[in-house]
Amino acid sequence: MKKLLLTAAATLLIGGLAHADKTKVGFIYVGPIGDLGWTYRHDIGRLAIEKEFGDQVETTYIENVPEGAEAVKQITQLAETGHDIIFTTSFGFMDPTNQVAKQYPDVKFEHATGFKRESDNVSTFSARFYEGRVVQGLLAAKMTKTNKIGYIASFPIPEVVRGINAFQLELAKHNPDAKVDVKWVFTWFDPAKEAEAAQAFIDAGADIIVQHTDSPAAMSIAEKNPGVYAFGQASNMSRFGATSHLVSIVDNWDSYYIDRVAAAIDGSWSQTDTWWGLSKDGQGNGVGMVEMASYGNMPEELIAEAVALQESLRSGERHSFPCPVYKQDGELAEDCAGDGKQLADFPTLVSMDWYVQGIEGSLPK
Amino acid sequence: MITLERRANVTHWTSLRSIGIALIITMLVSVLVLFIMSDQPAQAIWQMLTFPWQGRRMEVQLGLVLQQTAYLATIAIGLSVGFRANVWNIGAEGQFALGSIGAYTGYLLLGSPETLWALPAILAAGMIGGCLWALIPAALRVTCNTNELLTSLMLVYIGGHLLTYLCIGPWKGDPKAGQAETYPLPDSLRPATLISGTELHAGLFILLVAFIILAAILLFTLLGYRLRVAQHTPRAERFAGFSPNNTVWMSFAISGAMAGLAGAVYMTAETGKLIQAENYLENFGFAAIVIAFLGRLNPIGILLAAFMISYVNVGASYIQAALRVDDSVADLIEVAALFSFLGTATLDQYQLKFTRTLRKSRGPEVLS
Repeated sequence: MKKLLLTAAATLLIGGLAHADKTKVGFIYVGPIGDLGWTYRHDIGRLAIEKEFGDQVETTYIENVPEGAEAVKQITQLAETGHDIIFTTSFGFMDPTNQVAKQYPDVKFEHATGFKRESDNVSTFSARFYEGRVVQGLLAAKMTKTNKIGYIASFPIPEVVRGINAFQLELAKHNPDAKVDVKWVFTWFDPAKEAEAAQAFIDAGADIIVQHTDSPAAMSIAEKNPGVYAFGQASNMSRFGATSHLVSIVDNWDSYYIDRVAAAIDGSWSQTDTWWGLSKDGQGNGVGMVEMASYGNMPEELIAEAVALQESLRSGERHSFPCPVYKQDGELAEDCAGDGKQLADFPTLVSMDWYVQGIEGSLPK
Repeated sequence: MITLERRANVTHWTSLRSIGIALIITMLVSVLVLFIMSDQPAQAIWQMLTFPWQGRRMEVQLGLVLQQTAYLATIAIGLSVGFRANVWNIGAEGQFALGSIGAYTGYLLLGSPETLWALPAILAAGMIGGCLWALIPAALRVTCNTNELLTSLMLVYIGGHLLTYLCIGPWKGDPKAGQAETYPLPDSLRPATLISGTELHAGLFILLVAFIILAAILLFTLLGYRLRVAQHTPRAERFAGFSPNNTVWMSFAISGAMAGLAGAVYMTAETGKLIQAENYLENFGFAAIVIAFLGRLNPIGILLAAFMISYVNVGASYIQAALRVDDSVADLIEVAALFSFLGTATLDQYQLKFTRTLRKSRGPEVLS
């Protein structure tokens, strides 16, 4: 026992010394890394940090953290165990992150997809995933035969609503007869529920499945139904849909995470609100947070058209919400009044809570 | 051939000895588990034992431990009432959920009050919610003679779905919350935090008081005595002045009310709102079953067991954050504790006899 205590004390001491020069980076994940979607991509970002900084950093993650009271406890534990910068990677961690951040002013917090920064040590970041939805809108318009499209949506938060709207605008441009049916499943990751929703769409005649949830379940269902196509979400899901996968919107957090950890190490970290799309600045410069992966199961010409659209979005030549944009009831969006060119980031896109023209049903209120 | 023979005289010493053996077995298993699951096992063991002094603020860790202890002990002592009398309510998780729902119902019925004076009524509504939910399996047992193990367990899942339904449907709060939840209670209604940044809040005292009251009833009153003798045989139960049906009603009512109170305190203090079940329920209701047995259905034992398991759970979450050891370590240790405590409890009453030949059974006192 004495020996054990001695070893323990020694390792503790060494651990303590090592900590002095290592920057500890902590991650809170909403799902399992093995979800092959959202959380998986954040973990790839964590590994990118380890690769970039090597011995300068030590990373930790906690998986499957529910977004209730449990999140506060787990974020607190990361702060308590000496982490210098903590990434909380789900929208639902917004209040817990801000709550804990107030208790630990010397720890830096980075909250994904949120908008609350209640103290100076909280930054937020998100991706302009909707740029990928524009490309999907084009592909859906050209690939559908039944003109019925099923859209599996998680929660009616602005991020998801923007995706639906961007998709619909591009879809209507190329195929005015196609109709999008949105189903809210109120979960980010529930393979059974996602599969059930996909099957229900297919039974109702849909031949394109779009998802804003994290598991590859919908893709697997599409694969089982010949003639049905689907889009991958968050990570590359092409291996779940050999004959049904059209393209995946892949999240790429690597360069943002590396930037922020570098800033934490050299002391230049300060509060920011970052929003990158296919490129960092929306003008084609730098690696952004959104990638399109594995175009397939469609004619070559369509791939070329999609890639060209993607490139114009990346370079900023094209905007995802060009005017005129009409709301569901036919009213012109405020930003498009006069000589407005496109919908503005603030406040329109960040707080988007309305459907564009052509989508039926209403947002859950 | 190994036989179990009933001990001639059972003393406190034999009980203490078997608890000691169980603790040693649990520790050995824990060490083994940490050796398998961690690449720095010595450090993992050390930090798990001493985590309150390892973090930045000791009161944060102790707060987490005491918070869990309060919930687990409150629910477990309620369950112990039935378990003593062979009434098996394993649905405390559902009664906890209905306690939360009951408390929110109370809040709505009172017209969404803002003052702290409404809190007792809200908590009482939670107790009623948990109690009524628990009376369903009791009624089924008494009227249809259904197995309460099954019905109380099934009602956990129905309770969870009811919670989620209320959050998605009739009581839906801000749709932009990113999860299904109700609108929150005003801060003025929520039990005050005692030390800033910790989980220690006034609600835990309410749980402690409820625990002490029930413990005093069980240990020092005639009712407690009756419930204890009811454990042994239905005949003793009759002599004690209870019909078996009354024991069922009473066991479920008490355990449901305690779980309901825990759920009500949780809703007002921890979350301040209802949230869809998978993000809301922390399995206190199931863990409490383990606590009740680890504590040998004795109030003091339950308190100690709740503290021990909470310490292990929070310690596991600490080393998960500090050393990246998956916190399922806690589950493994909990199960190891349960097995060794139940296993050694047998040795209180029986002793192992090693014999060379198969002897003829000496009657009902020999188990095998």
